[in-house]
Amino acid sequence: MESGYSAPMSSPAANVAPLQISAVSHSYGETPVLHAVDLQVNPGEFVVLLGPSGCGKTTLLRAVAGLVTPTEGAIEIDGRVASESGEDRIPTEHRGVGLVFQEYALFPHMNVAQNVGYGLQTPSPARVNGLLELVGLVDFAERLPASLSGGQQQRVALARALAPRPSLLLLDEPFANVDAALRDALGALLRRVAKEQGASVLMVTHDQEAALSMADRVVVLEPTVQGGVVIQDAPPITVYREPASETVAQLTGPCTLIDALANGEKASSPFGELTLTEAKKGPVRAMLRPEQMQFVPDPKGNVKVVGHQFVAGNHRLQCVGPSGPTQVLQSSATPPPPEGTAGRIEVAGPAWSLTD
Amino acid sequence: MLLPLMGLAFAIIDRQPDAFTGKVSTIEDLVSGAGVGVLLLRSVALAVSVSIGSVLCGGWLAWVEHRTKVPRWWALITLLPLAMPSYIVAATLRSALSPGGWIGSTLSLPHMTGFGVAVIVLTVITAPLSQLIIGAALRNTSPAEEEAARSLGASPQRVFRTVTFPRLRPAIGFSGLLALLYAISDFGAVAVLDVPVLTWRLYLAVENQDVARAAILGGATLLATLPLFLATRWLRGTQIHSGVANRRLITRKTANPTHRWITIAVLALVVGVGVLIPISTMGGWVMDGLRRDLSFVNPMGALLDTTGAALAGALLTVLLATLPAWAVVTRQRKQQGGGWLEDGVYLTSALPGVLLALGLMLAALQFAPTFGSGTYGLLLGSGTLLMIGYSTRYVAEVFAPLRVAFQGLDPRQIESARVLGASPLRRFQTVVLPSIAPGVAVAFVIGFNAIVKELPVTLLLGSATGLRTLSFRIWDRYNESLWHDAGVAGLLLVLLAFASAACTVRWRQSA
Repeated sequence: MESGYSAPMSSPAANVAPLQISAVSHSYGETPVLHAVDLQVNPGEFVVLLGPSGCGKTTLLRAVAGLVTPTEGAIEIDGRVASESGEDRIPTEHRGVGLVFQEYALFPHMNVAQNVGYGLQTPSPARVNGLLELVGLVDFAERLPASLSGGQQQRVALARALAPRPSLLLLDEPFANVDAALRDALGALLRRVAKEQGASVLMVTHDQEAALSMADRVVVLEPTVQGGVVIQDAPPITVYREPASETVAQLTGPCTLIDALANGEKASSPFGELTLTEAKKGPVRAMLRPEQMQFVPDPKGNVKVVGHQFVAGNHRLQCVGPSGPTQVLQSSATPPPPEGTAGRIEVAGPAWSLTD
Repeated sequence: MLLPLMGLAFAIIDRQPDAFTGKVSTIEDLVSGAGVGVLLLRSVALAVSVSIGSVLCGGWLAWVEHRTKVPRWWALITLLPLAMPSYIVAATLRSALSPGGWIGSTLSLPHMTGFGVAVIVLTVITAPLSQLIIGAALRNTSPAEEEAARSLGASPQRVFRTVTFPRLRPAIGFSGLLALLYAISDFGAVAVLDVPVLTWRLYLAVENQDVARAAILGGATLLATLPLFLATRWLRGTQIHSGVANRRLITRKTANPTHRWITIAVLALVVGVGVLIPISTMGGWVMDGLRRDLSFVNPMGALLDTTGAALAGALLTVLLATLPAWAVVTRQRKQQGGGWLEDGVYLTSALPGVLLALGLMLAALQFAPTFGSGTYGLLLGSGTLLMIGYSTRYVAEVFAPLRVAFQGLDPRQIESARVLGASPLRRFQTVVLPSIAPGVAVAFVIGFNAIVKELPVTLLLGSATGLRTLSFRIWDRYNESLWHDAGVAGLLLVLLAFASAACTVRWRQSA
C-alpha cells in the first residue's frame, strides 16, 4: 500500500463500521436540506433510509459517495475520514463504495460484461462471470444495455457496483423504475447478493413496504424547516409498532390515531378502554394499526362502514368513526359487512401512545 | 460576434476624409448618395418573393411526402438542392435560360431579368428547408384530430382550414422567416446575376475600398436582417401541443391524380433547377472546352486548397462552438437558462457573410495598428482573419449538433465511473468521448461542408492569403467567361459538397 487511500477495496477490520456519519448538515445555497444527521452502518448490516420526497435522503447518499460535499459534519468510510467540516478528504474515485443509481446509469456503448468489469483494477473475466451468474445474466454478457429490460438493467447496475468488492453498497431508490411484482424478487436478490459479497448496504427509499421487509434497521428522515433530520433509528418492527412521531406512523403504513385519556396503563378512548404499552397520565394520542382492530356490527356503535377493498387475501374496511377515517383489516374468511353498517371497534393488544 | 459589429460602428462614427475632395461626408450624404433606400427596398422585395415561393413549394412537398401515396424517394431527392451553393445554381440557370442557352433556345424564352432568376434560384434552394420544417410539423399532427373533426361533420376543406392549417401555422411562419433571412443575406446568387441589392453593392463597395459607403451599406444590411433574426428566435419555441393522448404515427394517405401533376411540376422545378441544370450545364461547359481544345487549369491545387482551408476552418469552428454548447447544456441542466448564450451564437451566424467579412476587416484595421504597423497585413495574409471569418460564420451550424451530443451525455454515467474509481482521464476516454464522438464528427463535417461552399468570406478575407479555393476559382473564371475551367471547379465542388453531406446523413442515422 503506497498511500492512505490506495487500498479502498480491501476489507477493513471486521469491527470497524463501514459508514459513520456524524452531525452532517447540508444546504444548497440558502435552502437547508439536511440537519445534524447521525447515522452508522455496521459490518454486514442492511440499513434503509426512509423518508418522504424532499427530506434530503438522496443528498445524504450522494454525500457518502462524495458527489456532494456536506457543509458541516463528518463522514467516515471504513474508519477513514472521507469528508469533514465542508471539505472532501477522499475524492469519490478513491472512496471505494458501490453506488446503484435510481436511473442505473449504465454505459450505453459498453456491453453488459464491460459494464460490470469497469470498476475492476485489473480485468478479471472470472469475477465478471461470477457476478453475472449471481444476478442471473450470464447469457446477456454480450448484450448492450439498451436491449435489456428495466429489471435486467438494474441487475447489471448491481453487479457493476459490487464488482470491486466494496465494503459499503449505496442504493438510491432501487425500486423506483420497476413494477411491484419485480420489486419483491429484486429485493430478495439484492439482500442475498449483498450478504454473499460481504457488503453492508445503505438503501434510500420512500417505499415503506420495501423498507420494512428488507431492512435490518430503518432510519427515518423527516423534513423540517432546518432540513431533513433523523427522527427514528430502529429495527423495522419497532418503527412500525412504536413510531417516534405521527409522521413516522403514517410513513410506515396505514394507522388510526385517536385521542385518549391515560391513567397508568389503562386509557379511556372512543373505542372503549385501551391498554397502553407504557404507563402515562393525562391526554395521549394512541396509534392503532389495522390488524389490531376488529369491527363488530352494533346498531348503537359509533363507527360506520363506508366501503371496502379486497387486498392480498384480506378485506380492508374503510370506516368513519369519532377520530375520522379508520382502516380495519378483516380476514376474508367471513364476508365484509355491507356499506352503511354501524358498529364498534374492538382493540386487541396494547396500543402505542405517541409522545409529542 | 461583437468584433465585426464594433468594426462597423467605428467605421461609421470615425469617418475618414474623402481621398479626392478631402471632405468628411455626413451620414445623410452617405445614405442618399449610396441609394440605400432603393437597395433596401429591392432586397426586401427579393426576400419576400423568395419566402412566399419557398413556403408554397416546400409546404406542398411536405404535404405530399406525409399525406399522399407518392414514392418515398420523391421526397428525398427534393432535399438535394440543400447541398448546392447558390452561386453555382444561379450561374448555370442564367446560362441555360439565356437566349443562347440550351433551355432558352429550345423554348425560345424571353430574356429574364437577374431579379427573376434570383427569385427562382433562391426559392429552389430554400424550399427544402421549408419542406423539412413544415414536414416536421405535419408529422407531429395526429390524424386523430382530423378524424375527430370529420366525425363532427366537417368537410375536408373545413378540416384543413380549421384543424390542420392552424397546427401548421407556426411552422409555416418559421420557415417563411428563415427563407426571408436566407434571401436577404445571400451573396452568391445576386452577385452572379448582378442584382443590385444590399449585399452585392456592399461587396462592390468593399472591393473598391470605399469604406464609408461600405459601412453605411453594412449598417443598412444589419438593420434589414436583425429584426428578421429576432423574429426567428421569437418564433422558435412556438408550437402547439397535440390534444391527442396516444399519438398514432400512421396517417391514412390519399392518392389524387391532380395532386400528382402539381407534385411533378414542383419536383421538376426544385430538382431540375437545383441539381440537374447545374450539373448538366457545368458538364456542358467542360465538354465544350474539350471539344474546342481549350487549355484547362489543373484543378488539383484548388481542390487541395479547398480541402485544407475547410478542414482547418471546420476544426476551429468546432473548437469555438464547444465552449458555448457545453455551457448551454450544463446551464439548462441546472435550469439556469443560458438562452442568451444560444441567441448570441445564432446571431453571429445570422450576419450575412459579406457583412461579417467587412466587419472583421474594419475591426482589424481599427485595432491591429496598436500591435504594430504590419499586424493588419499579417492577419489578412496569414489567413487568420479568414479562419476567424469561417468559424464565426458557421459557429451556429456546428453548435446545434454539438449541443445535442452534449445533451446525450448523462452526468449520472460520469458519476458512476467516478464511484467505480476511474480517474478523470479514464472517465473522459471511456465515458465522455464515446458518447459525444459521433455528434462531434457530424458537427465537424457540417462545418466542412459549409466552408467548402462559402463564397463572400473567402473572396474578401481569403484573396490576400494566396489560397485559391474551388469557390474562388469558379468566381474568378466565371467572371472571365472561362466557362470550361469554372465547370471543372464547380463539378469538383459539388462532388465534395455531396460527399460530405452524405457522410452526415449516414452518421446521423448511426448516432
